[in-house]
Amino acid sequence: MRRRRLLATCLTTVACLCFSAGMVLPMFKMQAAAGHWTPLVKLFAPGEFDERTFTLPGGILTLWSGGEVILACILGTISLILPVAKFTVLWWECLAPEHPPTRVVVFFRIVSRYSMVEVLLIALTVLLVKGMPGGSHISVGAGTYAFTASVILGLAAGEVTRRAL
Amino acid sequence: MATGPLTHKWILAVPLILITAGAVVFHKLARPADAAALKAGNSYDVWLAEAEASPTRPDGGQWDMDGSAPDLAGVLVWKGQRVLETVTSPDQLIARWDPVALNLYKVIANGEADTASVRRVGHIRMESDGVVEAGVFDSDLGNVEFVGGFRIPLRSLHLGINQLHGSGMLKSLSVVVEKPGGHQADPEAWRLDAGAEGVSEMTEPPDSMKGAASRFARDITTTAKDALKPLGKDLQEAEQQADDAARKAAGWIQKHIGE
Repeated sequence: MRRRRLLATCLTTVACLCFSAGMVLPMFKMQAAAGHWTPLVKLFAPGEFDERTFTLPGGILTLWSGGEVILACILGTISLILPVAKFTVLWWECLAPEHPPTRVVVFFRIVSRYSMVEVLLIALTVLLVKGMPGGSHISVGAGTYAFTASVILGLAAGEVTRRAL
Repeated sequence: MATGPLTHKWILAVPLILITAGAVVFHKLARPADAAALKAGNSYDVWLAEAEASPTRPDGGQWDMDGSAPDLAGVLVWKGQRVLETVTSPDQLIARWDPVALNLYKVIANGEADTASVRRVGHIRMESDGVVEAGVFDSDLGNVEFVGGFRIPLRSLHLGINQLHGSGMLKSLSVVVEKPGGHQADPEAWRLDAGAEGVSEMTEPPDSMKGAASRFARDITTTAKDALKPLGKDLQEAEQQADDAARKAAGWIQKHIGE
Protein backbone atom coordinates (compact mmCIF):
# COMPACT_ATOMS: atom_id res chain seq x y z
CA MET A 1 0.00 0.00 0.00
CA ARG A 2 2.86 2.28 0.82
CA ARG A 3 4.50 1.40 -2.48
CA ARG A 4 1.33 2.19 -4.38
CA ARG A 5 1.03 5.49 -2.60
CA LEU A 6 4.65 6.32 -3.56
CA LEU A 7 3.90 5.37 -7.16
CA ALA A 8 0.82 7.57 -7.16
CA THR A 9 2.87 10.46 -5.75
CA CYS A 10 5.46 10.10 -8.50
CA LEU A 11 2.78 9.89 -11.19
CA THR A 12 1.06 12.99 -9.82
CA THR A 13 4.36 14.92 -9.70
CA VAL A 14 5.20 14.08 -13.30
CA ALA A 15 1.63 14.86 -14.35
CA CYS A 16 1.92 18.32 -12.75
CA LEU A 17 5.17 19.00 -14.61
CA CYS A 18 3.69 17.79 -17.90
CA PHE A 19 0.67 20.01 -17.31
CA SER A 20 2.91 23.06 -16.79
CA ALA A 21 4.75 22.21 -20.02
CA GLY A 22 1.42 21.88 -21.80
CA MET A 23 0.45 25.36 -20.65
CA VAL A 24 3.64 27.03 -21.81
CA LEU A 25 4.67 25.17 -24.95
CA PRO A 26 2.75 25.65 -28.22
CA MET A 27 -0.18 23.30 -28.78
CA PHE A 28 0.08 23.56 -32.54
CA LYS A 29 1.80 25.62 -35.23
CA MET A 30 0.09 26.89 -38.35
CA GLN A 31 1.73 28.00 -41.60
CA ALA A 32 -0.68 29.75 -43.96
CA ALA A 33 -0.24 29.51 -47.72
CA ALA A 34 -2.03 30.63 -50.86
CA GLY A 35 -0.88 27.98 -53.29
CA HIS A 36 1.01 29.27 -56.33
CA TRP A 37 0.18 32.86 -55.41
CA THR A 38 1.95 32.66 -52.06
CA PRO A 39 5.12 34.62 -53.05
CA LEU A 40 3.11 37.44 -54.63
CA VAL A 41 0.64 37.77 -51.77
CA LYS A 42 3.47 37.46 -49.26
CA LEU A 43 5.13 40.46 -50.88
CA PHE A 44 2.26 42.77 -50.04
CA ALA A 45 1.10 41.16 -46.81
CA PRO A 46 4.12 39.38 -45.35
CA GLY A 47 2.73 39.25 -41.83
CA GLU A 48 -0.24 37.14 -42.91
CA PHE A 49 1.99 34.22 -43.83
CA ASP A 50 4.18 34.01 -40.77
CA GLU A 51 4.17 30.81 -38.80
CA ARG A 52 1.76 31.16 -35.90
CA THR A 53 1.86 29.17 -32.70
CA PHE A 54 -0.99 28.69 -30.28
CA THR A 55 -0.85 27.91 -26.59
CA LEU A 56 -3.81 26.86 -24.48
CA PRO A 57 -3.88 29.95 -22.22
CA GLY A 58 -3.28 32.14 -25.26
CA GLY A 59 -6.21 30.54 -27.05
CA ILE A 60 -8.47 31.11 -24.07
CA LEU A 61 -7.41 34.77 -23.89
CA THR A 62 -8.03 35.15 -27.62
CA LEU A 63 -11.53 33.73 -27.22
CA TRP A 64 -12.17 36.08 -24.30
CA SER A 65 -10.94 39.19 -26.12
CA GLY A 66 -12.82 38.11 -29.25
CA GLY A 67 -16.13 38.20 -27.42
CA GLU A 68 -16.52 34.44 -26.96
CA VAL A 69 -16.76 34.85 -23.20
CA ILE A 70 -18.86 31.76 -22.45
CA LEU A 71 -16.63 29.52 -24.53
CA ALA A 72 -13.54 30.99 -22.91
CA CYS A 73 -15.00 30.37 -19.44
CA ILE A 74 -15.90 26.76 -20.27
CA LEU A 75 -12.52 26.04 -21.81
CA GLY A 76 -10.70 27.80 -18.98
CA THR A 77 -12.60 25.83 -16.34
CA ILE A 78 -12.13 22.44 -18.00
CA SER A 79 -8.53 22.97 -19.16
CA LEU A 80 -7.01 25.08 -16.41
CA ILE A 81 -8.98 25.07 -13.18
CA LEU A 82 -10.24 21.48 -13.03
CA PRO A 83 -6.85 19.86 -13.74
CA VAL A 84 -5.19 21.93 -10.98
CA ALA A 85 -7.98 21.00 -8.58
CA LYS A 86 -7.66 17.34 -9.62
CA PHE A 87 -3.92 17.33 -8.93
CA THR A 88 -4.56 18.95 -5.55
CA VAL A 89 -7.00 16.19 -4.60
CA LEU A 90 -4.54 13.53 -5.85
CA TRP A 91 -1.78 14.99 -3.68
CA TRP A 92 -4.17 15.03 -0.75
CA GLU A 93 -4.96 11.37 -1.29
CA CYS A 94 -1.28 10.43 -1.63
CA LEU A 95 0.38 12.37 1.15
CA ALA A 96 -2.12 13.10 3.88
CA PRO A 97 -3.10 10.37 6.30
CA GLU A 98 -6.53 11.97 6.39
CA HIS A 99 -8.42 11.62 3.17
CA PRO A 100 -10.43 14.15 1.25
CA PRO A 101 -14.21 13.83 1.34
CA THR A 102 -15.48 10.89 -0.71
CA ARG A 103 -17.78 13.10 -2.76
CA VAL A 104 -14.85 15.21 -3.89
CA VAL A 105 -12.80 12.15 -4.88
CA VAL A 106 -15.68 10.60 -6.82
CA PHE A 107 -16.43 13.91 -8.58
CA PHE A 108 -12.89 14.29 -9.87
CA ARG A 109 -12.66 10.67 -10.93
CA ILE A 110 -15.76 11.15 -13.09
CA VAL A 111 -14.58 14.49 -14.51
CA SER A 112 -11.08 13.14 -15.30
CA ARG A 113 -12.54 10.84 -17.92
CA TYR A 114 -13.47 13.88 -20.01
CA SER A 115 -10.07 15.54 -19.81
CA MET A 116 -9.15 14.20 -23.25
CA VAL A 117 -11.73 16.47 -24.89
CA GLU A 118 -9.12 19.19 -25.53
CA VAL A 119 -6.86 16.71 -27.28
CA LEU A 120 -9.78 15.64 -29.47
CA LEU A 121 -10.48 19.30 -30.32
CA ILE A 122 -6.87 19.85 -31.36
CA ALA A 123 -6.93 16.73 -33.54
CA LEU A 124 -10.10 17.95 -35.25
CA THR A 125 -8.54 21.39 -35.84
CA VAL A 126 -5.49 19.78 -37.44
CA LEU A 127 -7.73 17.75 -39.76
CA LEU A 128 -9.78 20.83 -40.63
CA VAL A 129 -6.78 22.98 -41.58
CA LYS A 130 -5.18 20.16 -43.55
CA GLY A 131 -8.25 20.17 -45.76
CA MET A 132 -8.07 23.92 -46.49
CA PRO A 133 -6.98 25.04 -49.97
CA GLY A 134 -3.70 26.79 -50.71
CA GLY A 135 -1.46 24.33 -48.93
CA SER A 136 -1.80 25.77 -45.44
CA HIS A 137 0.06 23.55 -43.06
CA ILE A 138 -0.59 22.77 -39.42
CA SER A 139 1.50 20.68 -37.09
CA VAL A 140 0.94 19.51 -33.54
CA GLY A 141 3.25 21.18 -31.03
CA ALA A 142 5.05 19.85 -27.97
CA GLY A 143 2.39 21.37 -25.73
CA THR A 144 -0.25 18.95 -27.02
CA TYR A 145 1.88 15.92 -26.24
CA ALA A 146 2.73 17.30 -22.79
CA PHE A 147 -0.93 18.03 -22.02
CA THR A 148 -1.96 14.56 -23.21
CA ALA A 149 0.71 13.00 -21.04
CA SER A 150 -0.51 14.96 -18.00
CA VAL A 151 -4.07 13.73 -18.57
CA ILE A 152 -3.02 10.09 -18.94
CA LEU A 153 -0.67 10.24 -15.94
CA GLY A 154 -3.39 11.90 -13.88
CA LEU A 155 -5.80 9.09 -14.79
CA ALA A 156 -3.17 6.52 -13.89
CA ALA A 157 -2.42 8.21 -10.56
CA GLY A 158 -6.13 8.27 -9.74
CA GLU A 159 -6.45 4.58 -10.50
CA VAL A 160 -3.40 3.71 -8.38
CA THR A 161 -4.72 5.70 -5.39
CA ARG A 162 -8.12 4.03 -5.76
CA ARG A 163 -6.50 0.62 -5.55
CA ALA A 164 -4.19 1.73 -2.72
CA LEU A 165 -7.09 2.87 -0.62
CA MET B 1 -11.46 4.89 4.66
CA ALA B 2 -10.44 7.20 7.48
CA THR B 3 -11.56 10.79 7.23
CA GLY B 4 -10.75 13.83 9.31
CA PRO B 5 -9.48 17.39 9.21
CA LEU B 6 -6.34 18.02 7.16
CA THR B 7 -3.53 18.87 9.59
CA HIS B 8 -0.95 20.00 7.03
CA LYS B 9 -2.87 22.39 4.84
CA TRP B 10 0.30 23.43 3.00
CA ILE B 11 0.11 20.11 1.13
CA LEU B 12 -2.72 21.55 -0.93
CA ALA B 13 -0.36 24.21 -2.33
CA VAL B 14 2.22 21.67 -3.52
CA PRO B 15 0.67 20.99 -6.96
CA LEU B 16 0.25 24.73 -7.56
CA ILE B 17 3.88 25.34 -6.65
CA LEU B 18 4.98 22.46 -8.90
CA ILE B 19 2.94 23.71 -11.85
CA THR B 20 4.17 27.30 -11.44
CA ALA B 21 7.82 26.24 -11.11
CA GLY B 22 7.47 23.94 -14.11
CA ALA B 23 5.88 26.72 -16.19
CA VAL B 24 8.76 29.09 -15.40
CA VAL B 25 11.40 26.49 -16.27
CA PHE B 26 9.74 25.42 -19.52
CA HIS B 27 9.15 29.04 -20.52
CA LYS B 28 12.87 29.79 -20.10
CA LEU B 29 13.80 26.66 -22.01
CA ALA B 30 11.40 27.48 -24.86
CA ARG B 31 12.61 31.08 -25.15
CA PRO B 32 16.22 31.43 -24.09
CA ALA B 33 17.34 34.94 -23.15
CA ASP B 34 19.78 35.23 -26.01
CA ALA B 35 17.35 33.97 -28.68
CA ALA B 36 16.95 37.51 -30.01
CA ALA B 37 20.66 38.31 -30.07
CA LEU B 38 22.35 38.47 -33.46
CA LYS B 39 24.65 35.56 -34.14
CA ALA B 40 28.12 36.20 -35.52
CA GLY B 41 28.51 35.20 -39.13
CA ASN B 42 24.79 35.30 -39.93
CA SER B 43 23.30 37.80 -42.36
CA TYR B 44 20.25 39.86 -41.50
CA ASP B 45 17.79 42.25 -43.14
CA VAL B 46 17.79 45.71 -41.58
CA TRP B 47 15.40 48.54 -42.35
CA LEU B 48 14.31 51.84 -40.86
CA ALA B 49 10.71 51.73 -39.70
CA GLU B 50 10.08 55.03 -37.99
CA ALA B 51 11.80 58.29 -37.10
CA GLU B 52 10.60 61.19 -34.98
CA ALA B 53 12.07 64.66 -35.29
CA SER B 54 11.76 67.42 -32.73
CA PRO B 55 8.94 69.91 -33.46
CA THR B 56 11.38 72.75 -34.16
CA ARG B 57 14.98 73.19 -35.15
CA PRO B 58 17.55 73.93 -32.42
CA ASP B 59 17.28 77.66 -33.14
CA GLY B 60 13.52 77.45 -32.63
CA GLY B 61 12.78 77.95 -36.32
CA GLN B 62 10.41 75.95 -38.50
CA TRP B 63 11.67 73.02 -40.52
CA ASP B 64 10.17 74.23 -43.80
CA MET B 65 9.61 77.78 -44.98
CA ASP B 66 5.88 77.25 -45.33
CA GLY B 67 5.65 76.04 -41.70
CA SER B 68 5.05 72.40 -42.60
CA ALA B 69 6.75 69.47 -40.93
CA PRO B 70 10.03 68.19 -42.33
CA ASP B 71 10.33 65.77 -45.27
CA LEU B 72 12.31 62.99 -43.67
CA ALA B 73 14.40 60.38 -45.44
CA GLY B 74 16.64 57.75 -43.85
CA VAL B 75 20.01 56.29 -44.69
CA LEU B 76 21.73 53.19 -43.35
CA VAL B 77 25.49 52.73 -43.66
CA TRP B 78 27.43 49.55 -43.00
CA LYS B 79 31.19 49.21 -43.46
CA GLY B 80 31.30 52.70 -44.92
CA GLN B 81 28.82 51.79 -47.65
CA ARG B 82 25.24 52.99 -47.99
CA VAL B 83 23.13 49.84 -47.87
CA LEU B 84 19.74 51.48 -47.58
CA GLU B 85 18.12 54.75 -48.60
CA THR B 86 14.46 55.17 -47.78
CA VAL B 87 11.90 57.14 -49.73
CA THR B 88 11.11 60.63 -48.50
CA SER B 89 8.20 60.88 -46.10
CA PRO B 90 6.74 64.34 -46.78
CA ASP B 91 5.52 66.77 -44.12
CA GLN B 92 5.78 64.49 -41.09
CA LEU B 93 7.35 64.84 -37.66
CA ILE B 94 6.98 61.06 -37.34
CA ALA B 95 8.05 59.42 -40.58
CA ARG B 96 7.19 55.79 -41.24
CA TRP B 97 8.74 53.61 -43.92
CA ASP B 98 7.74 50.22 -45.24
CA PRO B 99 10.28 47.64 -46.39
CA VAL B 100 8.18 46.97 -49.49
CA ALA B 101 8.76 49.70 -52.05
CA LEU B 102 8.09 49.04 -55.70
CA ASN B 103 10.16 51.11 -58.11
CA LEU B 104 7.89 51.13 -61.15
CA TYR B 105 10.49 52.81 -63.32
CA LYS B 106 12.98 49.99 -62.67
CA VAL B 107 10.35 47.32 -63.25
CA ILE B 108 9.34 48.86 -66.58
CA ALA B 109 12.91 49.56 -67.62
CA ASN B 110 14.18 46.12 -66.67
CA GLY B 111 11.05 44.30 -67.67
CA GLU B 112 11.01 42.11 -64.55
CA ALA B 113 11.09 42.23 -60.80
CA ASP B 114 11.55 39.61 -58.13
CA THR B 115 10.48 39.63 -54.52
CA ALA B 116 13.98 40.54 -53.35
CA SER B 117 14.14 43.60 -55.59
CA VAL B 118 10.97 45.15 -54.19
CA ARG B 119 12.04 44.86 -50.57
CA ARG B 120 13.88 48.02 -49.64
CA VAL B 121 16.08 46.65 -46.86
CA GLY B 122 19.75 46.69 -46.08
CA HIS B 123 21.65 43.41 -45.78
CA ILE B 124 24.32 43.15 -43.13
CA ARG B 125 26.40 40.39 -41.63
CA MET B 126 26.84 40.23 -37.90
CA GLU B 127 30.40 40.76 -36.67
CA SER B 128 31.32 41.19 -33.04
CA ASP B 129 32.99 44.56 -33.68
CA GLY B 130 30.71 45.64 -36.53
CA VAL B 131 28.88 48.97 -36.52
CA VAL B 132 25.94 50.40 -38.47
CA GLU B 133 25.21 54.10 -38.83
CA ALA B 134 21.63 55.22 -39.29
CA GLY B 135 20.89 58.83 -40.23
CA VAL B 136 17.84 60.89 -41.06
CA PHE B 137 17.74 63.91 -43.40
CA ASP B 138 15.21 66.66 -44.03
CA SER B 139 14.95 66.87 -47.83
CA ASP B 140 13.85 70.33 -48.88
CA LEU B 141 13.93 72.04 -52.23
CA GLY B 142 17.44 73.33 -52.64
CA ASN B 143 18.57 72.27 -49.19
CA VAL B 144 19.11 68.92 -47.47
CA GLU B 145 19.66 69.10 -43.75
CA PHE B 146 20.94 66.39 -41.43
CA VAL B 147 18.41 65.88 -38.67
CA GLY B 148 20.33 63.33 -36.63
CA GLY B 149 21.55 59.76 -36.46
CA PHE B 150 23.00 56.97 -34.37
CA ARG B 151 26.11 54.86 -34.51
CA ILE B 152 25.09 51.41 -33.29
CA PRO B 153 27.36 48.44 -32.51
CA LEU B 154 25.89 45.32 -34.09
CA ARG B 155 26.20 43.48 -30.79
CA SER B 156 23.67 45.93 -29.30
CA LEU B 157 21.02 45.11 -31.88
CA HIS B 158 18.38 42.41 -31.40
CA LEU B 159 15.97 40.65 -33.71
CA GLY B 160 12.84 42.76 -33.80
CA ILE B 161 12.31 46.50 -33.41
CA ASN B 162 15.24 48.39 -31.88
CA GLN B 163 13.98 51.76 -30.65
CA LEU B 164 16.79 54.28 -30.34
CA HIS B 165 16.25 57.40 -28.27
CA GLY B 166 18.35 60.52 -28.51
CA SER B 167 18.48 64.02 -27.09
CA GLY B 168 19.07 65.98 -30.28
CA MET B 169 16.83 66.93 -33.20
CA LEU B 170 16.24 63.25 -33.89
CA LYS B 171 14.18 62.17 -30.91
CA SER B 172 13.80 58.50 -31.84
CA LEU B 173 14.59 56.05 -34.59
CA SER B 174 13.27 52.50 -34.99
CA VAL B 175 15.61 50.05 -36.66
CA VAL B 176 14.10 46.66 -37.51
CA VAL B 177 16.30 43.58 -37.76
CA GLU B 178 14.97 40.36 -39.27
CA LYS B 179 16.35 37.08 -40.45
CA PRO B 180 16.58 37.02 -44.26
CA GLY B 181 13.11 36.48 -45.67
CA GLY B 182 11.73 35.90 -42.20
CA HIS B 183 9.20 38.53 -41.41
CA GLN B 184 8.18 38.38 -37.79
CA ALA B 185 4.46 38.61 -37.06
CA ASP B 186 4.86 40.15 -33.58
CA PRO B 187 8.40 41.48 -33.39
CA GLU B 188 9.74 42.15 -29.97
CA ALA B 189 10.65 45.74 -29.17
CA TRP B 190 13.98 46.70 -27.60
CA ARG B 191 14.89 50.10 -26.24
CA LEU B 192 18.35 51.56 -26.81
CA ASP B 193 19.29 54.93 -25.36
CA ALA B 194 22.14 56.98 -26.76
CA GLY B 195 25.11 56.48 -24.46
CA ALA B 196 24.10 52.98 -23.44
CA GLU B 197 25.43 49.70 -24.85
CA GLY B 198 27.90 51.55 -27.08
CA VAL B 199 25.20 53.48 -28.98
CA SER B 200 26.28 57.04 -29.78
CA GLU B 201 24.36 59.93 -31.27
CA MET B 202 25.65 61.63 -34.42
CA THR B 203 25.37 65.39 -34.80
CA GLU B 204 27.06 65.44 -38.21
CA PRO B 205 26.60 62.93 -41.02
CA PRO B 206 29.59 60.75 -41.79
CA ASP B 207 31.17 61.10 -45.24
CA SER B 208 29.49 57.92 -46.43
CA MET B 209 26.07 59.54 -45.88
CA LYS B 210 26.86 62.79 -47.64
CA GLY B 211 26.43 61.10 -50.98
CA ALA B 212 22.90 60.23 -49.99
CA ALA B 213 22.26 63.86 -49.08
CA SER B 214 23.43 64.87 -52.57
CA ARG B 215 21.11 62.31 -54.10
CA PHE B 216 18.15 63.58 -52.05
CA ALA B 217 18.97 67.14 -53.17
CA ARG B 218 19.32 66.00 -56.78
CA ASP B 219 16.05 64.11 -56.62
CA ILE B 220 14.27 67.13 -55.17
CA THR B 221 15.78 69.44 -57.82
CA THR B 222 14.92 67.05 -60.64
CA THR B 223 11.41 66.72 -59.30
CA ALA B 224 11.09 70.50 -59.13
CA LYS B 225 12.43 70.96 -62.66
CA ASP B 226 10.03 68.34 -63.99
CA ALA B 227 7.20 70.07 -62.17
CA LEU B 228 8.14 73.47 -63.59
CA LYS B 229 8.57 72.31 -67.17
CA PRO B 230 4.86 72.44 -68.08
CA LEU B 231 4.62 75.81 -66.37
CA GLY B 232 7.54 77.08 -68.42
CA LYS B 233 5.93 75.81 -71.58
CA ASP B 234 2.70 77.60 -70.72
CA LEU B 235 4.63 80.79 -70.08
CA GLN B 236 6.41 80.47 -73.39
CA GLU B 237 3.16 79.99 -75.25
CA ALA B 238 1.60 82.91 -73.41
CA GLU B 239 4.60 85.04 -74.33
CA GLN B 240 4.31 84.00 -77.96
CA GLN B 241 0.61 84.85 -78.00
CA ALA B 242 1.32 88.20 -76.42
CA ASP B 243 3.95 88.91 -79.09
CA ASP B 244 1.53 87.96 -81.86
CA ALA B 245 -1.17 90.19 -80.38
CA ALA B 246 1.26 93.08 -80.04
CA ARG B 247 2.39 92.68 -83.65
CA LYS B 248 -1.20 92.61 -84.86
CA ALA B 249 -2.05 95.70 -82.80
CA ALA B 250 1.00 97.56 -84.12
CA GLY B 251 0.04 96.60 -87.65
CA TRP B 252 -3.54 97.85 -87.19
CA ILE B 253 -2.36 101.12 -85.67
CA GLN B 254 0.06 101.70 -88.48
CA LYS B 255 -2.56 100.92 -91.06
CA HIS B 256 -5.41 103.05 -89.67
CA ILE B 257 -3.70 105.78 -87.71
CA GLY B 258 -0.35 105.94 -89.37
CA GLU B 259 -2.07 106.83 -92.62
